[in-house]
Amino acid sequence: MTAIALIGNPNSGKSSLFNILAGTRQKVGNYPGVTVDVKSAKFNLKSGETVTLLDMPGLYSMYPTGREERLVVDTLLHAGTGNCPDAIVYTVDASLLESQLLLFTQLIDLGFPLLLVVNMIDELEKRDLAIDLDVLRSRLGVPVLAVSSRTGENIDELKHAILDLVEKKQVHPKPFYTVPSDQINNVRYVFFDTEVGNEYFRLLQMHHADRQDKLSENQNTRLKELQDQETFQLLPAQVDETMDRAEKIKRLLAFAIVRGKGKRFDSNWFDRVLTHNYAGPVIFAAIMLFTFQAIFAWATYPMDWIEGAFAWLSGELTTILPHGWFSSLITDGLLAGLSGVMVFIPQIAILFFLITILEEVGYMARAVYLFDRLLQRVGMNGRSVVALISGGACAIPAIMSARTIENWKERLITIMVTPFISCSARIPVFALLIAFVVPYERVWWIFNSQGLAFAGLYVLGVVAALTSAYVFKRILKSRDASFLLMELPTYRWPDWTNVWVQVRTKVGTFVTEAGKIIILMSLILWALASFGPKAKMLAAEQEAQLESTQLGLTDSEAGDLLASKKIEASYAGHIGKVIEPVIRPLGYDWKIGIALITAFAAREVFVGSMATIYSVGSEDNSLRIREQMAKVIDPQTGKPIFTQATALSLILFFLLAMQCMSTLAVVYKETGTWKWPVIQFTFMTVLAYVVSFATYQLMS
Amino acid sequence: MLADFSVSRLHQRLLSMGFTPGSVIRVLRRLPMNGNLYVEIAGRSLALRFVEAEKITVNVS
Repeated sequence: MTAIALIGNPNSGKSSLFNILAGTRQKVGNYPGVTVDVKSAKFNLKSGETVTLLDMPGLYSMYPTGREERLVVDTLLHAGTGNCPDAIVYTVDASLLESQLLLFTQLIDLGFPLLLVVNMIDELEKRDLAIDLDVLRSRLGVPVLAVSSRTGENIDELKHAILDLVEKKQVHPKPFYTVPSDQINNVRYVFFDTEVGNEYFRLLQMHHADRQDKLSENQNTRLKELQDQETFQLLPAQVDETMDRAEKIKRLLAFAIVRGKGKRFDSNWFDRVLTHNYAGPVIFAAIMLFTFQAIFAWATYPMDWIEGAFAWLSGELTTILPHGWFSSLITDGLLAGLSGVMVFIPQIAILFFLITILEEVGYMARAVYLFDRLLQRVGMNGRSVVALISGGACAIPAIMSARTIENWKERLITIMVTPFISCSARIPVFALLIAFVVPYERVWWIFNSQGLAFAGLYVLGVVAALTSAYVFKRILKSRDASFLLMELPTYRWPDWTNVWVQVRTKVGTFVTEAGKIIILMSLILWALASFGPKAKMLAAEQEAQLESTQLGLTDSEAGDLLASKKIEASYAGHIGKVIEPVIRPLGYDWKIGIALITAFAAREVFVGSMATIYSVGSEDNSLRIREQMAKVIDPQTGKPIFTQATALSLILFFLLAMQCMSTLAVVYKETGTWKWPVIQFTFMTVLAYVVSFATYQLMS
Repeated sequence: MLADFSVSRLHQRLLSMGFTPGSVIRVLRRLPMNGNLYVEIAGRSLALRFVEAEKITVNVS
């Protein structure tokens, strides 16, 4: 099947064009071996032929510096990936024609069939520019089309042009850049024994020889020889070539671009405010406040529906299915796990909806510009901002978004500390415990003390992330240079298809990556909590029955008591008791121990476990769990377990500890070794233990 | 007006993003204390660090 790649500089409107051609049927997938997202879609031409359209990451030149850019270069030199396109649709932002043609001229020389699409043609007028397409066509010798992905101008013509491109596979007659004779000699020396590609193609293979295994052993030896003799030096050759191309492009465009006499369009008015030294950070804080407020305000309703639906389904199934372990497996194991996954979808979707809008309009690049300095001091990069904000929803897609950071050390640190940011799974736990720490009070009419304490916990998470990042910065060694050098795109209206695809992808990532592990863990924990040594389980049942009749409990109360007695006798209860000596110094008893273990599936499971252990029953009512918890007396001291000290110690433990198996699995995938998830788990959990220990000991 | 810059990997990156000798750079904004710069070159807005900017030699006009 024919494959066509959309290639262009970042921000050239490539993705919008892709969305128009592909609609929302597009798939986002990884290339084998590399964690870079490449979007693809099947696309039907009028001729009936189906072609695959690939949306490649944006890049500036065939001499790339970034990981994503290298993927594109490797693909075009078909090194290993086997996804080399048959033809290329190259997009440029009409207003930035001059600076975006460099890569295009390199593609001409590689001999690809090309179509040049001058995108965002509607924005030219604002800048008082005009482009003479005929001049461009004749000078470049390739088909050129002006379109606007925003207004839909010329999109039908684009489809025709693509059809033409696929049918004719027309190649540019002569190279744009003349490879200098000394370089030709080098190429001929290295490649005298093969006939792959043209001379420029082979030259590029020499430039990228270290990353590819396309050269034979003998060819590599000859290349080494040339480099040792200093007749072939990478950087100077690349610089010379780029300069030569830039010069030619400038001359060519002098005839093609018509500049008006009108005033220059100034898009930087917004930036005077948004990137202002002092107003900038304040506005950023306000946007973040609004974002998280929106999550709290909007997500509650769909979350209640989802929980309600699962509770109803669970109730129905309990009455239909025969009473016994199977019914329990379905309702308490499987459905509980599913519900634990689904309930986070609203929050994650809303946060990524807002983050994608910020990215689409171009604001995120400004936030990167503003915070690069601060983040650099703690070993990260301005681009880490995106991962850290996303961490407020779920660490899994957040960690994946760190892929845009080119420097390995900065990316690794970002991956390591993002889980400190309070994610949505911590919210129910904080909500349950905060009342023990801070009594409800009104502060300055509009705030309340518990809300402020909540905000304080978020801040604490950020502080923990930045401080640990600094520690990692000190420990880790790095060879790579760190760059910021980043384009600040023109402010634009979001492309809604893109927003939709992004949100769908992030939610999908969460469901597939976290979902399977949460459900698996739910099943394991269900088994641990439902089964135990036979004799003890039997004894627990009898004890519960006896107590129920003595106290004259109602049926449902008796059921709750039975559940609580059974979990105590179960394997989970045993583990809880085994670890009690370890968690005692933090102020926790074995019951909290059980809940802590179950929280390793996903943090919010803690709340449900507490409900079971304190025999509140299945109705998820934080208020009742809290009442019940307040009544619990420590048999050793005769005082309540849930004091301010214990609750705060628990909150801090949840804030800092690595209690998410799914995150660890994703860190393994992103870093490619178990070393980093192991270090992350140890580091976070030890830190949590020490902090909770100190808190409890100081406060009690 | 951009005159020269020292050779490095940064060099290649600067070049591919349009920093060719002879092109006009406008510094639009700067963050305080040798912070990041917000510049415009060939119609394109770019953010770069102070240390990155130090590698670029310019003629001020």
